[in-house]
Amino acid sequence: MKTRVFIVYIFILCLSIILTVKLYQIQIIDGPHYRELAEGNRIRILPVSAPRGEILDRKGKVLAKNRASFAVYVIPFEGNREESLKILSGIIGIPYAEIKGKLDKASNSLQPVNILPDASIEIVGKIKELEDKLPGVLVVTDVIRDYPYKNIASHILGYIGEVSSEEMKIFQEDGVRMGDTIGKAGIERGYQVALMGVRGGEQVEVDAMGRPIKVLGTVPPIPGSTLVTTIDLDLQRIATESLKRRGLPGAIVAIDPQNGDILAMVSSPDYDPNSFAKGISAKEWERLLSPERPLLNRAISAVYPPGSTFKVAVALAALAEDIVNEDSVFYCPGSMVIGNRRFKCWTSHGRIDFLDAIADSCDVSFYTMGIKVGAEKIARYARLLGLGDLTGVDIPGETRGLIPEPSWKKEPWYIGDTANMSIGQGYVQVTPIQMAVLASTVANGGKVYKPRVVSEIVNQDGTKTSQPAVLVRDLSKFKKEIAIIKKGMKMVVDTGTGTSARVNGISVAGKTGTAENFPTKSNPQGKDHAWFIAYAPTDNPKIALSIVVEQGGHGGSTSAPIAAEIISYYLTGKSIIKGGEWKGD
Amino acid sequence: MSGIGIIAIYSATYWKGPDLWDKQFISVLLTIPVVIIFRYIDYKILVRFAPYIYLVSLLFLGATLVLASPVKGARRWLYIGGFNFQPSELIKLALILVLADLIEAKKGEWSELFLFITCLGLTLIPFLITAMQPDLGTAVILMVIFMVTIFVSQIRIRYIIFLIGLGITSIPLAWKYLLMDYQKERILTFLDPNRDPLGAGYHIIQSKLAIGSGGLLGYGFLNGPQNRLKFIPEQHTDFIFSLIGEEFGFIGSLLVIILFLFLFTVGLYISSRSDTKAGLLMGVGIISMLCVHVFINIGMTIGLLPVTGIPLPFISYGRSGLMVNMMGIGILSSISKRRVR
Repeated sequence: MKTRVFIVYIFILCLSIILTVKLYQIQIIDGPHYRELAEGNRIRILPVSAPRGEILDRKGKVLAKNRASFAVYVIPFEGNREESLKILSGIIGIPYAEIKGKLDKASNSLQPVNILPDASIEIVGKIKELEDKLPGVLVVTDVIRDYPYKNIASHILGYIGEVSSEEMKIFQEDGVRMGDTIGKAGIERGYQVALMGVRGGEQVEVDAMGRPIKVLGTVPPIPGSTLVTTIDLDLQRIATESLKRRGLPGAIVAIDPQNGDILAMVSSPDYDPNSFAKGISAKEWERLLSPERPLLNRAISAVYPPGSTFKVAVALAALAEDIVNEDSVFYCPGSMVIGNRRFKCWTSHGRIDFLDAIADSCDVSFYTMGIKVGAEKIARYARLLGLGDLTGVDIPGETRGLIPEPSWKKEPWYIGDTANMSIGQGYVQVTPIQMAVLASTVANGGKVYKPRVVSEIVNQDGTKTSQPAVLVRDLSKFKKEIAIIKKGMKMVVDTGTGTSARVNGISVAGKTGTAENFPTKSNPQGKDHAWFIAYAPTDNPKIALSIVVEQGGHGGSTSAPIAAEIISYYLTGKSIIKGGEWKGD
Repeated sequence: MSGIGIIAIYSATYWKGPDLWDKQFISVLLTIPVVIIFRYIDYKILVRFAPYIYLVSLLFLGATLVLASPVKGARRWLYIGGFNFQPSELIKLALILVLADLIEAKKGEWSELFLFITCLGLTLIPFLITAMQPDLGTAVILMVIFMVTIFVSQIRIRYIIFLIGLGITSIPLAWKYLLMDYQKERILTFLDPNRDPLGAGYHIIQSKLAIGSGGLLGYGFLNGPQNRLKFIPEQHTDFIFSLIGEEFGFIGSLLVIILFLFLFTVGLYISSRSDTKAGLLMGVGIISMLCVHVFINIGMTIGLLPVTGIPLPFISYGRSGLMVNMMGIGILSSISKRRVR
């Protein structure tokens, strides 16, 4: 029996040795490996979002920044909802139904719902005061995007919002995650990657439930880069006010002809980008989705027939192709039969030379020139000037427009189509920024610059990436022809159809346009769009402009005064208010 | 030994609130008289009462199947007179007693085969009940107690070998009909812990992580991150050895094993020197019971054996187990005292 007990004892000894060996293996041999694993096990990296980069105007004024805010959250399903929500409704001034709607939408989660992203100190105070009666209502400090100048430059800056699943596909590689806020339009969108910065992380010790216990270390986020824009905030404001005084939708683009810098870009109606960050009221949504389309950046995304402003391109074609010269003379009896149709001029100019044909915008002269040049060549020169194609501006959403030519049209191309094209009607469609580039190209003697709105990206480490001016095409070989056109454009303002653009002490050149429209849903009477392109001063141009006022009637009386107001402010610092007079189309 | 237990439980439950470790402290204090009482009771009296103790334990055990409410899917606890206790702890001791009694009384009188079958029967009843609870760990322990007792009592080994052979051949059947899904899962995850790292394999992985990361010296008392962060499940009961490994390292773990080995050595020494067959069988039975607990528990925490709810004797939190183990020590002590020289 004792032998057997001894055998049992040997057995126990063996088991002990096995345990010891295994422990030795785990703890001593593999110890460092397990220790490393264990550390990884209980340490989580929690993301710390990077502050979005600021956006500055050309003089350093802050157009978009981040601001600390108080946000009011409500946890769905908590407490006696109706009563407390009604109290909350009274404090924050949002209707009970609207709050309830937001909660119901999120009712299947226990995540707090953001009811008021930007609460005032007064509201926060009242909520704290009535805390007992408001179960489930939280006040949380947050960071929101702030656009201090509200509607000014809204279409340039754009706005931000939660990333959508389609946008995820675009930005995933750049580190955007679901639930992140990204730029939805404007620079905010175009420069999303530069603005977003690099997410940081917090190394947090967590327990088995993933609850943070303490912060072990942080990798600070790298804030987004600051964008220095070419926008002149004061000019932008003057231009905005000037357009808004007309009370009609429209767009203005002001470019520095020496490098393509966009000095101002206005699209009206506009919106307050803050409202996207703060939470949009139902009423504001309705307005944003109205047929007037305040979200649309008309300066780059809307197309209009250019009307007589297109004559600049036709004139260049005619001069360059030696169809006409500075001394050519035309006869305008007030109308002209082309094909089997009578094409009118706005008046009968009688005997008229080339420069006056530009200055007085004589349609018959341009029908004559256009037909001689031919549609293909008009199209070629128009495209050289940048019409009917993307300008490459660094704001997303640009539209191409259309420069037609016979091969484009499916039905036969009639000579009447060429006539219509010669005066910027028919199928011709351009964007305001294309016309601004055209004005700039004429002003600087033939250099087609890519318009830009961001001139410099300042990274957080202080390094700068400047975006040099990009010369798209050099039309300097047409220098002589352009010089003649410039003479004509100066006459437009001095004596012609655009005298409303005159500015005391500054020599201004321009071209009026009155774009005829077929009646459409948004323009039931088919009212004319009022165009004006301009540059000044004529000898050393510092600003080139394109202005369109939808259904504004005559370019000379509606849009030319806007040019005067902008040019006066930009070149003399004097802000003026100018009325318009009609001197012909 | 229990001192280590209290320190470890203190650490394990430090972050949960203060009451568990001092409860265990009180339990240890309360069970020390148990050792003394059993020391002065003649173990022969116990042997005489063995059939009754066995029957009562069996009754309690059977009652769990009917009365107990399931905890984590198993019925193991009985609630009597303000105390929760696990009859499965008691039945181990009762089986040791009854087997010792029977073999002492009938060896030589009955045929070996008949004695063997009777003993097997006495073991199989609680074995099946605990297996149904289900408490596979206890069932295994009962079987080991039976086998060691038979082995030491010098009944022919071929019976045991036959039984083992039968057991092995019945594994596929047991797999199909006897084991619950979670038990199968445990065995499968024991074979490959990464099968389900956040579910069934979690315990093994976390436990090995904790012990392994302890290294030679450990993180130090109360400093084990896995323990503190509650990554080790059941850290104050079944997986307390993980905590010891993490906080006291290889040295601490080894110390625990050496202490147990010392206990086993002394226990077997006492048994072998007992002047009665019953004393020897009881001593060996008690040591083998403790021994199986220790090896199954530690083996589980270091990934050598599948996860079963077997606590580490004297160290894990829990009163029923502690009480029974203390009784066992008391009986051993009584055996050593009553040796007729």
